[in-house]
Amino acid sequence: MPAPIAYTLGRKAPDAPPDAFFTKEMRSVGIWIERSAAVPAALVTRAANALALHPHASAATSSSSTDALAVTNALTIEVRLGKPHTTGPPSSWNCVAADAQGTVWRTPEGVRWEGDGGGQVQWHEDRGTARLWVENPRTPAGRHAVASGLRHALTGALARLGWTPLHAAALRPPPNADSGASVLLVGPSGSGKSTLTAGLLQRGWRCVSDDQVALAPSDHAAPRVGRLSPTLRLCPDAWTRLGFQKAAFSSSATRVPLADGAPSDPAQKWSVPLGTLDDHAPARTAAWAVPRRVIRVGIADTPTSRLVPCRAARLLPTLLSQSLPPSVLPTAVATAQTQRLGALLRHADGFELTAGHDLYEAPGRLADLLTAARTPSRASTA
Amino acid sequence: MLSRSPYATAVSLDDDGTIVLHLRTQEYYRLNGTAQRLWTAFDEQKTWTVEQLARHLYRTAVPFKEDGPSRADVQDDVEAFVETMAGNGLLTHVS
Repeated sequence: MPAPIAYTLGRKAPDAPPDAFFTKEMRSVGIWIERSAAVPAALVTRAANALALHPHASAATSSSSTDALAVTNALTIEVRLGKPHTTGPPSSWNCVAADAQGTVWRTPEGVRWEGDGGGQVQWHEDRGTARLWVENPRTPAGRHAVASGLRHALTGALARLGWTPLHAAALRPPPNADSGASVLLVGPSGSGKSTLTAGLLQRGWRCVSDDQVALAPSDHAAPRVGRLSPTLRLCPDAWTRLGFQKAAFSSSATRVPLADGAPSDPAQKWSVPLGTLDDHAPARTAAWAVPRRVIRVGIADTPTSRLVPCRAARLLPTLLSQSLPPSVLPTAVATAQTQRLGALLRHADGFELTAGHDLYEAPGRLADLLTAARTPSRASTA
Repeated sequence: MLSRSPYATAVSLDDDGTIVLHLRTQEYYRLNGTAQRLWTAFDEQKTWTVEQLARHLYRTAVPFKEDGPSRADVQDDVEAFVETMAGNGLLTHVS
């Protein structure tokens, strides 16, 4: 029997910067690959890096994922060839969630994700294992299935290890800024989070992430949020309109493919690695923030933008809709996630932003709106 | 007897009250003051009958109020609460 290969991924990288999020807290996620699947290591590393995770242990060999990873890892992702075993007919499956990347089913075996690229992830909660099944990873479509499946499995693994992945942008204010506190911008895709992030960057704000963050495990204190997506993605015209030029960044500021064989990005966005922004002083990025303002973002066909207070009871459903659906998680994990989102709102002021034409033309104006909306009780808290 | 569903979780939002989420249906419900009082009763005791809940609510929420609701009003409130919460899977009947 050929020996499988084990990769261990986490944020305990020896070269991690001192302020790296989760450096001391992160438990690892082990990725074990059936050797006959012949998935290249670079593909695994790229999938992990897409969630701002870093490898911190080199390949190991063992006859089973249990032997290879059980001692050092809290959760294992296995990559296997073929299709998952099924006991019940598909007609008995219950669809519990669906998005552009795939569909989640509750089957007799547990929660299963079917990716649009053909990969399938079956969670085995009792064993702390997710199995990613792919039929032919040697083809471009198969490599895409591996990449999207790993991304799905890693996101689910983070949630099971106590973090709360959230589709949101997070920024820290410039030092000594009147606009006060760190912000979290929440809204669906296309609501303008990345554009507003770029606008605030121009005004000296520091970016944690423009698209994906994770809340640290903390039920009572104000949760910290850290980066889960390492790039800033904008359409070329948005970069130009905002006055950024490709030449302003390092040579890595080019369009980065999501994965080999992935469908082309319909918006043809440029992905700029956030690390390259710090080639220029002062620092434009931050590893984490404690948001004291949670802003629900929406676009409107109106000349003037408005930033108004919003009740926590109205924001909680928005946060829930941009986190992993509770129905795809074990009950204890879903409960903890919901409580963490509640804690975030209890420690933050809620706002609703109606972004109009003026913010489209000058998204940095959000900094002025934040200054005007300053809340004395929580001002100057980073 | 009634108990909370294992799939129900409540989030306290300070001044904004409490929201109860059903983790499977992903539907959420905002509790008013009376519903919040009834929901937190399950923190003190895991199972209740409708009559016990009505007595508890009358004892804790309407003490010594001459113009407060009658016992029959309180009983109606509790029955409406139970019907809504059980109907949406947030409370379950146990033997």
